Amino acid sequence: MAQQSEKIEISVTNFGPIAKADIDLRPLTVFVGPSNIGKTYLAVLVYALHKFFEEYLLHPSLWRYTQIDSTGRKTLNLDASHKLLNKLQPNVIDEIIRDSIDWIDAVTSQEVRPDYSNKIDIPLPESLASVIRQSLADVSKFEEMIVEEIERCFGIEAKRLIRHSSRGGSKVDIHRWIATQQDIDPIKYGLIIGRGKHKFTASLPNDMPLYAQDISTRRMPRWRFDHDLRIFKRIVSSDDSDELPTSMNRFVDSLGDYISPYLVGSLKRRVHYLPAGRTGMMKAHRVVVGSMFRRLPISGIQAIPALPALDGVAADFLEELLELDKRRRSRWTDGRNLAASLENRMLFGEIQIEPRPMTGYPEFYYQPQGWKDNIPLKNSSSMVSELAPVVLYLRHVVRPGDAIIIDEPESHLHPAMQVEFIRQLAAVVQSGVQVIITTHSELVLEELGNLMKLSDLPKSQRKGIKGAEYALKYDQVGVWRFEQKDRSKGSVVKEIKLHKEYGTFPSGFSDVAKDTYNDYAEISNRISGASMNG
Amino acid sequence: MVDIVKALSNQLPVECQATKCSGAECSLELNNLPKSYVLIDMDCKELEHPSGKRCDFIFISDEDVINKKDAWVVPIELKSGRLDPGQVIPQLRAGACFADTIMPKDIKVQFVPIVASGNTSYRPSEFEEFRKYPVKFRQIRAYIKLAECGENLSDQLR
Repeated sequence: MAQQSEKIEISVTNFGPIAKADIDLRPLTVFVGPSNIGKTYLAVLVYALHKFFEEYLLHPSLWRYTQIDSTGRKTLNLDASHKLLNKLQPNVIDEIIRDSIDWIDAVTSQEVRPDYSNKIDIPLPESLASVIRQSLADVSKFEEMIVEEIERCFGIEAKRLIRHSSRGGSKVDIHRWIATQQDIDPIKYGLIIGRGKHKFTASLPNDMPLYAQDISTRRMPRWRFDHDLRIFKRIVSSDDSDELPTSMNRFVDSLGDYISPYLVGSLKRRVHYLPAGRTGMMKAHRVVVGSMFRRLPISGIQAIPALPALDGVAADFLEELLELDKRRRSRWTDGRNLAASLENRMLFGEIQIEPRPMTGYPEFYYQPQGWKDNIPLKNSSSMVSELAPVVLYLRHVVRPGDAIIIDEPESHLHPAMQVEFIRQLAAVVQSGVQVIITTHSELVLEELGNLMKLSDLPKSQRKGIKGAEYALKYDQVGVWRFEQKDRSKGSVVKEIKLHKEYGTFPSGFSDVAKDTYNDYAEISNRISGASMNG
Repeated sequence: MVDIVKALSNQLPVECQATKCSGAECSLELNNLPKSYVLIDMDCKELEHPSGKRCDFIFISDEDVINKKDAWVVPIELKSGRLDPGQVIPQLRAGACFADTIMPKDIKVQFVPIVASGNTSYRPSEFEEFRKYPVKFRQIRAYIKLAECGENLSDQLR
């Protein structure tokens, strides 16, 4: 799975309530801590970063060719590698051409299996890789786009996300290690959000080998890659000296197209955000959308009164919800099974979508087991509304390799259901979907600890233990605790590890439980006369 | 007026009168306590224990007696690792029994059993155990107070 073949670290400084956070994204990532301390801020930031990398780097040619002009329009930028190549001496160009032809011959001579399962790790020759590395590191053209995406997701101006006390703006650093190359420096992306200007940078380590064909076997059919290589070979072998610079540029640019997704990796994975207010949105989506539509006919006639304000994560959630179609179920069998498992083990009924006859606008229903008729979701319990979007996303939207961020999965759930939901989320993780949650629930962490501890037990001895089939390995889970050191200085985020002996995380939740117990002891002791103070 | 601390100080071996409340990897600070107290080291070999089980220390103060209030009797158990109610509760009960043998019978006391722990991650079931099984000293049933290693003992004697 892609999520296990790389390591992505995100470091955040002076962003919202967060003074400093250093996290890395695991198959299951958990943010814990008191309220109003920055857990959701960090989760939304992770979402925004993924959205940026997904949207703007979905098509590699955008990475290579796009630049944004002053009006925000995307225009072609063919200058990056051209400038680099023009600086090179003719003998260096000759070396690149020779090396490139040798490399194409080596790669295309390898056996192509019908299922494209073979990955041929023949790195690009260093002469060519150094040019491509430099041109791919030119990401300054994206700095407005990445900040705009962050603003969209938070629904406020970027400058309002900068902590008051900071002078240098908010900083976001992303380091990505590729599993096979963990002995060399990571690929680094750096973003500074300033009050006036922003800065976005990238750097690729000089000694990092580049594997264009690694992409070819994972992202597109091998035959297509080989076909392109043959064209490239014809281009670089061209005897026409007048055409050579253009041909070389095209060759370098095209290889850049192949390599750029490889450099971004799972940062460009599809990501879905289920906000904390999802229960209300499931019940009231028609009110929100209806309010928008009622105002549309008067646009152009008079100034439109303020539309309902939604931040980007809520808007994206609503959009994905309204685009659901009962006829378009995911082809991902595991996803459909996971949805059914949630329905059977937690909802004891089925979540249904019925498009309205004229508009196709989806209506959501809950069909309890054993009931003759279904009921509108707005009339169902909070737990059903809470879990319905998870069921629908798994059944219709999420695919393996995607990430799903769930704000406070314990909301509206009885303790027993909180525990069961974590088991179900562990199953989602095991199916290849990255899961990120924020939580205030001690039970969520306790069950998570149990699922991890289960991995210490041989499979043959797990029979009869609840959640046995969803055991999580220790390195699949990362739990980060948000702590308020000093309100004026903001929160600090640190990883907390499962205590192997106690089977619990030092989340701080038990401090509250201990305090309430001690209060109980004090009250009881005074009542009994054991303690007379007060 | 009974001067319990003075009497106990004369009665108990000097080796068993501790000046620090500390175990292997856990301790309680002795700041802001009443001036007159004795801290009995229950691991002291010179002491005779009615049973094999024992807590780590017993704190006894009579300062409140002098002020016409009750004395303090505080059995203390220090745990650096896992806090097991099944182990701790009998130890504090044994401490209460020992205190019964050395305290004058005709005196009122405030009785607060304390366990200090280095584990800051409790499970709800552990609190359930502490709620179910208070510790008895004479006619007093007292619930165990939970402290953290490094905390002031006086914070629990509020």
